[in-house]
Amino acid sequence: MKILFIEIYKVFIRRRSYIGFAAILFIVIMLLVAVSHEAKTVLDFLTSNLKDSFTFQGKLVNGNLYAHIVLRSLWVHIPLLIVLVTGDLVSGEYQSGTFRLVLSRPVSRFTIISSKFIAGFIYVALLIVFLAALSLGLGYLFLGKGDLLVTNDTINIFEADDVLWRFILAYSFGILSMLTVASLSIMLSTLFDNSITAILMSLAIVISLTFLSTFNIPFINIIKPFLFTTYMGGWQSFFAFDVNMQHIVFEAIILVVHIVAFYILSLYIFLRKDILT
Amino acid sequence: MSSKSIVKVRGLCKSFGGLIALNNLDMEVREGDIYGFLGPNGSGKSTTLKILLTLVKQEMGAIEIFDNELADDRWKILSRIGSIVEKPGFYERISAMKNLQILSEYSGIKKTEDELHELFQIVGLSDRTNSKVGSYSHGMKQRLGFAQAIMNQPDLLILDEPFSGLDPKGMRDIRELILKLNKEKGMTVIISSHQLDEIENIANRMIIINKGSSVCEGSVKEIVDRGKMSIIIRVNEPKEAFQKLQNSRLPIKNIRLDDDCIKLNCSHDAIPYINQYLQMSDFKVFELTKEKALENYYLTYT
Repeated sequence: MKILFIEIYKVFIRRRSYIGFAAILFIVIMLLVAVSHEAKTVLDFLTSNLKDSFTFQGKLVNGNLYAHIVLRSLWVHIPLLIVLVTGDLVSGEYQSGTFRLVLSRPVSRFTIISSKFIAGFIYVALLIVFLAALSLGLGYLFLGKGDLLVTNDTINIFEADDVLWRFILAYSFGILSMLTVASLSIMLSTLFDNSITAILMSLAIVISLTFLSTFNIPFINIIKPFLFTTYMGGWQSFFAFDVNMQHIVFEAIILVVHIVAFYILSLYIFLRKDILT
Repeated sequence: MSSKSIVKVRGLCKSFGGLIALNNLDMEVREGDIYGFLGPNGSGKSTTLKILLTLVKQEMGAIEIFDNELADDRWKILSRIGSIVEKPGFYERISAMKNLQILSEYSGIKKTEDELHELFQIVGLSDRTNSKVGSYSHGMKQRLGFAQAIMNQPDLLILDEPFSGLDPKGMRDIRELILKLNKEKGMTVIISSHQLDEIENIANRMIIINKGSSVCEGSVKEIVDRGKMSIIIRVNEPKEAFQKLQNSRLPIKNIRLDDDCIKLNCSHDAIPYINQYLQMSDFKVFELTKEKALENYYLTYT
């Protein structure tokens, strides 16, 4: 337990750990200002294809819509903020030489890597909770509550009272998705002695796989089920009228399997690693 | 001096890719030794010390420390070892005090602030305990490295280049501290260094390794004696003096002229006669010194 506290402490003494929080704060505030001042433009943009068939009444630009816009806009970029920290968790210690002091002490490598995973997971969870609290909090505070308009392949309008649980579950699923990204980057961080390599490699993998996951081409469709990024957008399923829980649980299990696999791989690498730097 | 073995290494092998770092290395450190570890860059010194500290895994060979197999009793053995390996890496954004607190937690020991202050005093950093390590000079980090190494009052101290980056006062302080810990606490010390003089001054036993194998191992006195016969002479007319000595019947060997100085091998007893002979031959003898014995031996075999 002591080692876990030390690892958590080490995450939060680094400046880079606050870049993610600062970036989210900045973007969320900028989006709030934009949505508040350009409410009509936002609504026109969201309903541009539907105006001829539907008439919209009431305050549709509200805290719920704002929180949903934030969620959709930031979801692609959050992995970038996460790997900045998790990609450096292990390689940063190789690079700075601190592992020479730590691993020559009576502490097991299993404990160290497990604590680093948990510390990384706590960081990721806090970042997503921060995003959720900030977007919903600021949205409700400045724009008030109201029905949520969601336009994907279909148009869904949820009553104000039927929204919060969807956000909570969407963010919970989002945490799971981001833990998968974090696990991948910690695994790469265990492999490489250089933080920059680990971070860039994590980003390259996440971006490439996300890119492939969005294509609808027969050949790519064959490999899609094997890409963890295919399941990372599962949070969107909570904003459908009939929430398919069975499918969501299946997607969540796939992500958990990936997390466990990345953890086992990290252990395998770390237990055999020669500390030369 | 007790002859009980503290560290026994047999047939240690390690390679990185195709490069052989250690080739069947044997060594033995006895209780109470200050054991010098010498070798040129890339000879396998750091690799050996890292293997002893389980930072690097050996491919072959047996390592016994405190009568236990390192592979079987890693935890127990490491709790009795303190070390500095290469340049000590600390968490730069936090204070030196916090660094030591974290490292003591990793060691599974709880040190009070007073105990840590005492350590800072020992290594001469008592006025900088709350400074961030990032603001420390290299020499200060080396002192802090020494503090963390002795923090758990180890029975065995493994020091890889502990004098690197230290100013002369720092070197003297650390040397005196090593000798004190060895003498008063009976701490066994393995010390690798490029500074041959330091090893000659501080160690009682030593090993010289080259290309991953042991060149020689034994008491420092014994090894120094093997290389002791080289004499350097500086006189006013070196060429003439060189010819004179070459044609003399003095008991000298391997006489050679190297720039402006004469180098030769002879017995210890012959030195006053050489001096007397040169003076009687009207040469002015400016300098007559023994070449650094250990350096001589080291350079011959590495």
